[in-house]
Amino acid sequence: MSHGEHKTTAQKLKITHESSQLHVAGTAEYVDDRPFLKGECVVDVYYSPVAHAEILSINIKEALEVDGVLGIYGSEEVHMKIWGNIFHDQPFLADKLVQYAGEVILIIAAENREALLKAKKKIKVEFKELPAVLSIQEARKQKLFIGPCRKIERGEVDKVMALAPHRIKGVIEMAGQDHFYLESQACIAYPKEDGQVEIHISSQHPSEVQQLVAEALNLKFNQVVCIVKRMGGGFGGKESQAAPFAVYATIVARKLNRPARLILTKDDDMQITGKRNPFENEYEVGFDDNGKILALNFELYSDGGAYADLSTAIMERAMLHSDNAYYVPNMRVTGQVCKTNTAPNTAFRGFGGPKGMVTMENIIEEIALTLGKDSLDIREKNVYQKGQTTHYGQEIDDNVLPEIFSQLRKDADYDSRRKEIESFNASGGSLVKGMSLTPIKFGISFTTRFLNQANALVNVLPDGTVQVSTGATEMGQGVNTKIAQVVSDSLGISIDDVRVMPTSTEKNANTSATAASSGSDLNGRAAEVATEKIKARLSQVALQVFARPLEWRGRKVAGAGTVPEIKIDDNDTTCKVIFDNNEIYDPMTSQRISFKDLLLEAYLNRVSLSSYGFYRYPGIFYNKETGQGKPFFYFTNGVAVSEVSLDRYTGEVKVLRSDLLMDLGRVQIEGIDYGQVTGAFVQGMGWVTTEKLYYNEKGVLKTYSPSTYKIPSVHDTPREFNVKFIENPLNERNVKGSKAVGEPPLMLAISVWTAVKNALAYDARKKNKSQKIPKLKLPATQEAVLMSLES
Amino acid sequence: MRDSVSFYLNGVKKTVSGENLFLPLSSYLRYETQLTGTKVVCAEGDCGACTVMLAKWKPESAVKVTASPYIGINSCIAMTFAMDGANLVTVEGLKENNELCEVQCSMVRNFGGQCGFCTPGFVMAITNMFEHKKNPTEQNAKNYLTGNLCRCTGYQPIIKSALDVDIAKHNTLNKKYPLKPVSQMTEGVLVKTAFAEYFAPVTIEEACKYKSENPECTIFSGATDLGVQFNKGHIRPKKILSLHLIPEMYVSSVSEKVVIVGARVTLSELQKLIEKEVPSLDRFLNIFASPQIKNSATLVGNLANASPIADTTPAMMSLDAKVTVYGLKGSRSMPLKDFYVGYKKLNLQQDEIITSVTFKVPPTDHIFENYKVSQRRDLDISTVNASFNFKIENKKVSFARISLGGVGATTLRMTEVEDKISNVAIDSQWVSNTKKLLMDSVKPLTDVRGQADYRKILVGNLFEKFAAENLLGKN
Repeated sequence: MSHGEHKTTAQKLKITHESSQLHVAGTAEYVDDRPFLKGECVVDVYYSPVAHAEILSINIKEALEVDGVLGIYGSEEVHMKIWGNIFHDQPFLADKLVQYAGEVILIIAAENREALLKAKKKIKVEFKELPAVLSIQEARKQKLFIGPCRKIERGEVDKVMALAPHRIKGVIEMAGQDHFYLESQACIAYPKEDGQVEIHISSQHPSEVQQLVAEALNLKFNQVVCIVKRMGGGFGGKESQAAPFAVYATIVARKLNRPARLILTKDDDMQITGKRNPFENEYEVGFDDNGKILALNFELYSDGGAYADLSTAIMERAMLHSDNAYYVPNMRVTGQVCKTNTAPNTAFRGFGGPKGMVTMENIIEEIALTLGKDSLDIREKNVYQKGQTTHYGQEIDDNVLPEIFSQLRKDADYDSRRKEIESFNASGGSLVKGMSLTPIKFGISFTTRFLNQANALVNVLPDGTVQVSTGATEMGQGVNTKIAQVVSDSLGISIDDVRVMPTSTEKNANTSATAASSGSDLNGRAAEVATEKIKARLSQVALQVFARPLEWRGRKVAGAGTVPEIKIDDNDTTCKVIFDNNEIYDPMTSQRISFKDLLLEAYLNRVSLSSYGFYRYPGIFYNKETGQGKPFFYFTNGVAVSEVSLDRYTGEVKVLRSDLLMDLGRVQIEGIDYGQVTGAFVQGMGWVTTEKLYYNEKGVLKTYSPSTYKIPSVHDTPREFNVKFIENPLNERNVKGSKAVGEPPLMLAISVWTAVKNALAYDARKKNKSQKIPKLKLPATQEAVLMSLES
Repeated sequence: MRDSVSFYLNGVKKTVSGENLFLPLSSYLRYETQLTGTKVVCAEGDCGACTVMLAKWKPESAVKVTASPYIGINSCIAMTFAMDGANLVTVEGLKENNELCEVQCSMVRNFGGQCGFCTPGFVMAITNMFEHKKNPTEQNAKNYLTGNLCRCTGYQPIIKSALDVDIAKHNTLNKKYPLKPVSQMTEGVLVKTAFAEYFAPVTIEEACKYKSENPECTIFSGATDLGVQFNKGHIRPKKILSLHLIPEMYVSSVSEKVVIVGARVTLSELQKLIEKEVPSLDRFLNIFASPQIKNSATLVGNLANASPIADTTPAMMSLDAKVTVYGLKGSRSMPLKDFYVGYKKLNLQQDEIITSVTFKVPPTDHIFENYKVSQRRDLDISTVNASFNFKIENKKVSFARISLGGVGATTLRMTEVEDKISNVAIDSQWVSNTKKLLMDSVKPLTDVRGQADYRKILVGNLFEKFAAENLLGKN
């Protein structure tokens, strides 16, 4: 091991989340923590209480008379009235028609929150209610679709299906999920000179906010600066859906020429913003006596809600992940987004991945039940082997799936625990147990190629500290810590001397959303590219400094112009010296100079200490129309086995134990990656168990706060929870040999749902029910489980 | 009479008067004192991001149940006026000589925070634990963190942080912020503003007089429900009455198997009071809400709120609890089951104030068990709850109390079923008969917490579970 690597390991031990000392002290600044400026006003929105209606009249007269109210604005204030990421179909402010309960109609500005509350109650909008479409079924019946129906196909599905020894047909329903980021949507718009505006916002996508605000208000893009310091959670919910709130605040800021602060309450946030898309997937599978899958036919239908948002891209990822980890020689998957009168659904950690994978894992459980075999045996029989290709034609290389299956089977004592569960269930009692092991193979990159680009600005300062700016936004995932580590490792300086600056569109323009788990990959590499450029220049300076007399160094000499200036070649991009331990070392001559001294020499000799880096994932392509290509730069793999118990009397689900094994390439900062894995897993558990969105018969969401919407609490986490990473040093493709971790582990929680299904199957077998394969929707709430046990 | 309220905030005296007194404490902290470390997420006491440590003012006579007077509460649903005489510590008050304290350091080194928004609340919840537990187990840690939601970490790094605190380096708040007394606490408070009025008398007679003259007034105590109603804009009480300066309200005792719980006694204090005498109620209170809520909410408040899904009501009904009220004509008592006369309707006169609840410790030959079913086990409102208090003699039920919540407009005592199942031999047939009787006598509604038929099945199954675990095969 080289000297450099030693230090990196030592550094790793003391690295903590870059904001953690501020988090724990309560001094980390979020949008609403910014001090109120003189004249700053507060902003709120009035939204539709009904799911589908014509707006007959809007009366704001009484509301405007409320003491402290400064103005109430509608769609007439918006220049570009309709927006959308993929399709332009969503009004910023509804004026004639509302298409979901929660759709924003008016913006209210006031001196204080009490006035906002009063005014909101005095706004009178007259609606003529229209029939609302509230289910995928109904939308399909009425042919209310968003975007085209896409298809990915290979082999001869129909022919092989017809000849298959066994066939199962069914439907699997998955509900939505609220992001429940702790910090609700928040932004402040500060009016600036010459029609400019500066927006501080909790958003995953500042570039889009900048552009949408400009378009909505008929400004030039260069009149808008958007800044994101940090978010109190995002999870996809602030990828596209933060932008409208910036537009609302900016309208007020410009109308009143005052700073305008819009902070949603959790109640309003949950009613206005979109969720994870519900899916209702039809499937038919043909398989042989051994459980080998011969043919698959999937029809995926998602609930896009009232507007397109990102739903077609989410559907695309669902289609690309409906093979999950298994080779299926003959496979057809179609995907259609449906339009309903609910909030426009949007990105949520995993995007379409979980919905494709659940469909597949449900089928595996059903094959096992049909054949009376262990579902893990079915999985191992079908898992991808190296060199096989996916249904969309991407070759599976760097494939660790078969190994991690067998490793976890062994590490988690799968086979002996299976026997214990069988005898436990046979002996009766008030509990019934189940267990299941599921894999993930999650493709890394945006499936839309042009989004896979990033840029970074690195400024090295004379005291040897560094400021790095990228388009990545920090939402807790530790992207800033990882970027700081890339830069500090590269320059051989302490991570404490690298500060990642607030994300701002005036430093990093035309960036993509921090999404698709790619934030650290893309921006980390861009920062590395920028740093390498500076190093190449410093390397030349160092070699020339080493070649010169010692007394030529320093401000008094080079600064006075008494010696010739060092000239460097901008085309020479190789670094010939070693940056380590705050020193620059020439291995040829064994000469050294401190980092700080070298910076002074570079500066005095007019060599730039700043650089801009650009990076894009190489070699990816995907044709959305043919459904073929190599959309993913690489895959992140993992497996998890979960054991659950169900209370026969109450349906209560307990997760007794979960063991996770993941391949994250070379793990960079273990504390951060471990936290991403446990966090994503528990969030996924919420989706598959307790988190139930309840809409009344008119399509109005009634679970809009944590008193009724139940994300997992500390007691809900697995009673025994083991997380391990495999060593995979072969992954050279990505920055520092790491693999993306943001989304993938969420889908390991599918093992909890399949374990519930497994437990229900034991119950069905014990009670000799005619239905051998229990029907279970997702989430498997206590209610759903009890009703299934009682059926 | 005082016209302001004083308290200590991170050791510094604050005197608040006028409109600011009517702000939720979290708003006062964030927007009036710039202490923005205290976060607000749900504004309803369900997430704990707003947790602060509070040493409430109590009269000399009040029983001290904990070693440290500092307890964690949700500042979003506490009102600023309720800080009268208190010592309050926020996350900004934890640093020691401008360095992070041990709890904060442990959270840093164990990656306890990701997005950081819930982090101050967790830091305070862990601080709360170490105020009352020296060597916490993992289960203790989970119990103390029940009231805090995190969406990023999956809790594992936070549990690790809580267990990794080096107790030798930890200083309790009791040590860091020794209680500073506020003077004039024997004087009442009356604050009148253009919008609202706040009155805190020092005698029960004054309180009854005020209530009879101002029937529209609202009594604020723990405010774990009123605070929520306030934050959501559902209520804007014009007149607020607080009983916190009246010493009798703090009565709490167990003597001769009789438990008396005064109106100001919190559920945490109740739990301490009965943990040895009524262990099954103690166990049940473990899954009642969070430490922060239980540190504010009172038993009397939970009963007076008259929610059909209140978690202490079935237990209190099955224990034949009595409610004592005080009015201009003196005091009177009534059985709890007669206290409810309809959905959120109480048998209470305009001038009357509930002063205490009294119940008997169940005799040792009684089987007393309580159940709740909710979507999530902890910190969730029940879908259905149930309390059973049975005595078995000669394989027959000789005494039965069955109380059910979540299946009607009030908590129901199932007196008819109790009569029908008594003095019949206990066997599996008896269990299924009882189950059917119970299911047939309730007509639950479908709402956000569950379908009607699900609730009905739960009523039957909870009894079946109770019978299987306690009656069959015994006696």
